[in-house]
Amino acid sequence: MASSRTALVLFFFASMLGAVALRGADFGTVPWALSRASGLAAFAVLTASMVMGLLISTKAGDGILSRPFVFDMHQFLSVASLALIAVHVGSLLFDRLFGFTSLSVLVPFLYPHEPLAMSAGIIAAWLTAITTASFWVRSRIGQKRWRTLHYLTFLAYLGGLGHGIFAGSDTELPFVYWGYVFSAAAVTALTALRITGYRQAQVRKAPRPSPTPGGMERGAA
Amino acid sequence: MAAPRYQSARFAIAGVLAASVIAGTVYFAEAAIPPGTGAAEGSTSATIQGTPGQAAPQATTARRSRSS
Repeated sequence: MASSRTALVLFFFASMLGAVALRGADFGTVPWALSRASGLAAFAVLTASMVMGLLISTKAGDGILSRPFVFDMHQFLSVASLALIAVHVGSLLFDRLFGFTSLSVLVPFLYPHEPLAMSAGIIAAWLTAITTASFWVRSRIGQKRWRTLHYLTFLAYLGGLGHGIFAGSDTELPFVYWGYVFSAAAVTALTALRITGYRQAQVRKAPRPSPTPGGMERGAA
Repeated sequence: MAAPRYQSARFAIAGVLAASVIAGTVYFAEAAIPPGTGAAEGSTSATIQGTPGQAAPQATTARRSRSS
């Protein structure tokens, strides 16, 4: 376990060194193409992760998929989306046309082009990082705090969707456009199911008023 | 250390994702190069940076279309 952690840390620093060494190299259109491809893949995986998470909380997947499998995939897809976001952001640093800097891809509102949509993407990436990291501190922060923190995923999803639609260069491509529509429809439908299910559970939990003649008045007040 | 559950599913997803990103990169990189401009020989970034030539306006337009 310790050796794999050391290997990961070494790999991270080697990647950083490699990136710095290659920063001045000219890769033509490849970084921009890689950024577009990884950005779209990151959004698709984020959607899949959201769907898995909502399948757990709504219990809509029960009977079709096993709960441990759905939870495992939810967690794995969160990490995968974060990795793809890292590729999406990192490859922009090698693009010569748009002039991204290390700071402008990490800090919102620094990049002048489409500042709102770009910042939505940056904030969404940070929120995805925070919620993904929270899987590993769940026992430390407690279930209630973890659940509250996990609601940030909805903001991350909305930020990612807005970023893709308004800052992305490929929204006009049919498969991208319909991908956004399908993603938004799936997440909205499951979120609606989640909210209605939660309300129904709250109603079931609430104590019923006693069927006394005064019950109506108390209920009305 | 015990092997994580659903290892094969994870590998399959990771493989599909890697293949998709590579395919997407090739697709977008080829789409950015206008045919018959000579840009395919590796001069795309030079044309984007403003080196005189016919490919420059087309390549720049293709890549700058992000906000449209």
